[in-house]
Amino acid sequence: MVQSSRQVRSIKTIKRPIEKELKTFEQRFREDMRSHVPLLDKITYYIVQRKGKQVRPMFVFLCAKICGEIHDASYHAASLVELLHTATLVHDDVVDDSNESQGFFSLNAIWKNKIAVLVGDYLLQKGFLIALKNKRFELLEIVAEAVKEMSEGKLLFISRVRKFDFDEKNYLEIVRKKTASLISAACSAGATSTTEDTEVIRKMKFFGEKIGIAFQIRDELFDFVSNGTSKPLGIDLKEKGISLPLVFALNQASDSEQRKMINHINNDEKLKEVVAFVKASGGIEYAQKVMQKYRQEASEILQSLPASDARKSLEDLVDYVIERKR
Amino acid sequence: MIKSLETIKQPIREELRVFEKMFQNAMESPVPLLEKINNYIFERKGKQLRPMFTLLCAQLCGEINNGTYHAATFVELLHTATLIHDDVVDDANERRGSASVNGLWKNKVAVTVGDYWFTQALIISLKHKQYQLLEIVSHAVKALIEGELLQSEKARKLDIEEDIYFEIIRQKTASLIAAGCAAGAASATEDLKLIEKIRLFGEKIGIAFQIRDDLFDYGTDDVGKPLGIDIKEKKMTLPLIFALNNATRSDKRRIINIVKKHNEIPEKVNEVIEFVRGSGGLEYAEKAMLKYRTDAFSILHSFPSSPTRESLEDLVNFSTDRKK
Repeated sequence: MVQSSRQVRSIKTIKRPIEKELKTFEQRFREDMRSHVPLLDKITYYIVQRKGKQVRPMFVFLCAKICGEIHDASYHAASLVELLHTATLVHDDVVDDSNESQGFFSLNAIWKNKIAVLVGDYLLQKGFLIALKNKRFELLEIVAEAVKEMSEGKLLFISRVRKFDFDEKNYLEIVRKKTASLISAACSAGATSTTEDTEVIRKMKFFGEKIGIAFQIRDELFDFVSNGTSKPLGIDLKEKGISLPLVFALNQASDSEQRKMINHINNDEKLKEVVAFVKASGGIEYAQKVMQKYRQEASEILQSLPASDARKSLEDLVDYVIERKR
Repeated sequence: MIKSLETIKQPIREELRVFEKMFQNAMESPVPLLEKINNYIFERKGKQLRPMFTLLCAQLCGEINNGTYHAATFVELLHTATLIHDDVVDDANERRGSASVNGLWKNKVAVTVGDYWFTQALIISLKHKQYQLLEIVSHAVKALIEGELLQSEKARKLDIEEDIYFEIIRQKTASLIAAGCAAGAASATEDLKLIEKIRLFGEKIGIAFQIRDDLFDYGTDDVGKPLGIDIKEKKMTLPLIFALNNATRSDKRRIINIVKKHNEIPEKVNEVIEFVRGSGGLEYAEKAMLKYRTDAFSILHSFPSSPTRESLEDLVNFSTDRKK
């Protein structure tokens, strides 16, 4: 699943400084998910089964380790982030009515919309309760704030798509809220679990934000640049809305061209033309430049912290996000 | 016999205004779409019985204070969030005679708006360090969701018995009302026994309230048409459970078959309604409802008589005698 290349270290290597912690976390997380409602138990089993790379807990633990000794609060932070992340994923299933998610059957296909709303709600509350029970009010506020921002980001995104808005500032604001806020929360929650130094916590928060934005732009670029998979180019355009390469291209175009391309986005047969249009106007190079800028800023934040295994892993994680093949 | 809401509100008239303001402030948002939806919800808000329970319970135990307003706001925000999600879950396009949020803006938006409410409510309470409130209410919300899930599971299998029915309504309806009452009490007193007593009062009311709601489904609508919405959604409620438990084996098979496979056909749904009516299921449920109400009253009567106590009694009557 994880593709490693020569210059990019594998996820396995990146995980090394927190290997033990991640293992303990996985056990704890499974226990957290357990429920006495049989239906829930069945569903959470599917969720645990299809868990991906657990990128967010990695951010939590690595940021925690950079700032101090990992302890109980760090585990609570990771559980909280992962539960809320999973909750929003489950809710996204309802929303998009998608039949596939992370390569596994989505909850939707098996248990229908109705159950997915409730299970998402359940996981959300479960996360809140774990934090409350352990009196992790600060962590809870950080992560709840992120979920709120994600909701705002999703609603802004929907409005933006309906209005065909391609203003670059609006684009970035939505990416920050919709995608970057949870990674940012993972980093600042991790740091908060091990230090009281507000300056360092703030740094980690911004680090997460930068890397989150870079991650999203990387994702969008996959739609335009062939990466050896059989997926046709541009296929995700409709779902993802007006991504950065397209934002740039549209802003360079004439009124009539803008209108034409916007119509094309909703027409499967014309998606190739949109891709060509974006390529011709330099949208890809522009998006790559912006992505590198965020990567650079994220790296600079890391460089301002003392060197350690954890810092090295975070540096590698940044590289991984940018260089990954999918 | 039933007093008007205006009369019931008398002892907390001013306080409800303060609550209203706080609630409205909590709904403000810089996101235009959200602002639009929030206004839509606010203009169509219900009778807001929950904040009344919270405020009156606080007054019964002591004095209404800032913590009480936070409790009322928190509970009403969560209640609003769960209603928005409920309409998605039930695929309902209407709520209180108007289009539901998902009816107007589709599922995607409705689920997101509900999530926004859940977290917004939580953040407000965290910012004001209302930790006890959070503790009381969060467990209720978890119970609420578990109750809904249990109900959905039973709607697949239709193997529900009376004890499960009571477990479901205790979780999905009574828990949040109980938490609203307990949170009100907790804002005004530190006496844990007293808080628990009030919580129990809320639970009894919540159960009575839900049985009343379930009974409505066997009544008729404004133009005299039978409702039967629960049957269409395969929700087995007390009147039907009683009827099935007292039916012959062939009747039982016939009725369950309708609920399972013909729940979209109006004539068939009517057949179930007639069957329940004929079996004494409605009278049975009514009796159960009254028992819970009596229990609630006897809790209230352990408090000295006061305008507040009287208003709570009237509010109990209002919510269990209501015609809608």
